[in-house]
Amino acid sequence: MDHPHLDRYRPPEGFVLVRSHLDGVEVYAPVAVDEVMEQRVRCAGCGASIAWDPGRQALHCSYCGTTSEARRGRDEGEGEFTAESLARGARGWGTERPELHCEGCGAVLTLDPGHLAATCPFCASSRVTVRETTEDALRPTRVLPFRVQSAEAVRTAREWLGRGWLRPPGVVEAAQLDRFLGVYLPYWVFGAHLTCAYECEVGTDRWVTVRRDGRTERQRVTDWVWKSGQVAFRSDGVVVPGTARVAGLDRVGSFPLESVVPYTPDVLVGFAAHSYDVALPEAWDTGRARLRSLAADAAKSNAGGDRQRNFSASVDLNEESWSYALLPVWLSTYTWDGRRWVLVVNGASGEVGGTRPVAWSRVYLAILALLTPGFFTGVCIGLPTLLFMGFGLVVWIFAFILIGLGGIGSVVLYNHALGEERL
Amino acid sequence: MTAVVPEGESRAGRSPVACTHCGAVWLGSVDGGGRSTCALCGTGRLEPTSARMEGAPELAVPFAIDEKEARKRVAAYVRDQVMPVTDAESAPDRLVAHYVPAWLVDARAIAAWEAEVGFDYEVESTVERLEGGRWRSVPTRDRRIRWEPRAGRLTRWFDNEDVPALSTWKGWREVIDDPGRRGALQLRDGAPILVPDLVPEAAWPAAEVGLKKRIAVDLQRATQAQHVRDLYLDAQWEDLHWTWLLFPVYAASYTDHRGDVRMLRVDGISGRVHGFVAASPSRARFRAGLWGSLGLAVLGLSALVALPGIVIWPLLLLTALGGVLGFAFLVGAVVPLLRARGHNAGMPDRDPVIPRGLPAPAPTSPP
Repeated sequence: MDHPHLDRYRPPEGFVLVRSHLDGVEVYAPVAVDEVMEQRVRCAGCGASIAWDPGRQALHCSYCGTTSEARRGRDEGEGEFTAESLARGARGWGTERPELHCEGCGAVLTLDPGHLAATCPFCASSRVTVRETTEDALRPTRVLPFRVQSAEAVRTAREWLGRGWLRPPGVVEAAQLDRFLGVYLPYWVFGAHLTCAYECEVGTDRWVTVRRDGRTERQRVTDWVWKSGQVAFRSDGVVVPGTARVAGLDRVGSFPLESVVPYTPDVLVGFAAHSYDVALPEAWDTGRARLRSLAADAAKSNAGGDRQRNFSASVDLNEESWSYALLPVWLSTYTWDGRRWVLVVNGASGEVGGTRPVAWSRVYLAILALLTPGFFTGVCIGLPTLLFMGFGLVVWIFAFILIGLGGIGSVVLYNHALGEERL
Repeated sequence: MTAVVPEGESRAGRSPVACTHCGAVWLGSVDGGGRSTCALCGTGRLEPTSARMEGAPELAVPFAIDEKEARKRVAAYVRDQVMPVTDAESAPDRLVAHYVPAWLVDARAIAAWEAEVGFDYEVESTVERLEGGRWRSVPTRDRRIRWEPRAGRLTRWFDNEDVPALSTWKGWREVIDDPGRRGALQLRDGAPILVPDLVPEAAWPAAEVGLKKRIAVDLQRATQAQHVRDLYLDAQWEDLHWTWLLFPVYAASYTDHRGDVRMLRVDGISGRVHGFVAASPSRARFRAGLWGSLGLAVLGLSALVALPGIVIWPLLLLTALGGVLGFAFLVGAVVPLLRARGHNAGMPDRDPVIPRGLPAPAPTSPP
């Protein structure tokens, strides 16, 4: 390209020379950004370890008090469902993070370089190994930084664990809740433009007065008409967990997705991060099911009427998008009565979920107490009055009602207790 | 390089001549016969002149049909027209072959460029159908374009870019079906060549547009993209070379009902005939008279048959039928007049290949 006209040519900023497939043509393209940020684990002021401080929303050195802002991640936008999107996407964590592999439950967790973990936060197994991160996983595109501090998570978890009369005495003390681990869990966030064409019979109720057996009574009549229509809207923020290893995530409430920021490894400093084990296509099946339910609900709402039947619909999904977000939770496992229990605290809202032991002796006592009035009334009052006074049948009926109510209460209580222990 | 070709000097075996009527300049021969009539307007005579011209004929598209075939096609074309004027039927006898020029531009582009290049990709989508209470997913695929910025430099040589050499090229494009065939410069004997009336400076904007399109195609290849848009070029053009590409055309003239000379043209490659054949008002009047007379005759006969019909009543039926038929003939007599009038209403005011206000013929001696 030796020509005076081109001597002063400079490619635009951020462009690099790429391969041209034609002689005589030079091609420059923007640099394909695959930023590998240097992990900041040491304080710039004193060299001590630093970590993301949820309270300050910045990296903080607890030794010298230096605070530094997190570097802004590059906004990758939302992904499309192309055959190439998985192959072309940026991979890895964008920084070096060793991986913890649990041989107990198979979980994979990335850690800070200086982080030493001896137990798996998911199953409390100590059979863990630390390896180098494999680079074949997609890099997160969004992250919601921790807002709830460790101490706050411990406090709310303690409150939650000690709440209620079903808890065995001493469980709070035995749980060792200071072992909370802040983990960023993988989530897939889906969106799509939905166009739902529907057809259904819409029923409108009206009341008529009819005479039956010489009496007038009001009767409900439903007039049915066929209705068809179309609703179109965009739905974003359908969240599907990217891991099946952490149970109880549905109990920690929703995450404020409006506060997510482009992924930057800075907010991961001091925390672990869990790689996704539910792949994108698998998660998309779940996301799509939720999206079509949303479309069907909107269509039914649009159809109106007091009731509907023979509903059929066709939902056209367009401009589908996905993003891979890391959402914060505090995780802890503890042992009680020879079993492992999981505690999950929403790292953004502080809501607590998980499993907690139940004092079954108290449950059985409560069930006994619920059933006793019925049995007592029937046996101690109903039987003598039936034998000696003649109106015992009424008392028996009353006793049966009490037993029925006690039975219902017992089942509810038993299921509640089971739910506390299982996820 | 623009040069003046003096009277009597030749290029491609032909010397410059100009039409005394329309002023068109040709490279041709003045043989004193029918060929001395201008093939553009069909009216003026070709007189020797001097002419300013750039370049020379380099390539020619060969005639694919001979003169005999062209005559047959003109004759068939005239026959298919609405009541053609009598003189149009003898137009094939006045058929002449000639060449119409276009510029072929060679140039070297030295440019810095910026553009957005587009890559096709497919996305997987679904249509979800709720049938019988169960959802069914129907996968679909959408094609989209991903646009990415690119920039760079280029040094490329482009040859034979077709550019109009005549100001009335739009009109000529209706005559010439260019199949893109090019051949060596083997000219038909005696066929005159129309001289470009667009000098290179005037033709350059169109050439630049065409060359930029070729650059865009090259950039598409260089970047392996499927689309290019928003192309910005800071280009310098060097080694510009202008030559003529000649397209073969036959032309035949006829005089219409108003006494104006009109042209029929045959594309020398495809043989397609182009031109307006005027309808003859006298033929239309003759046909109208014929139909009118027939109608009157039928009406008269019907009236005659009506007299015995008073006694033999079925004859009255024949009378009624004759009356209707005669009336229909009378009404139908207007049709040829209306058809001819309607056809001639679509007659173009002027021949689209003849420039408006052609400059006067160049002086016969060099300035």
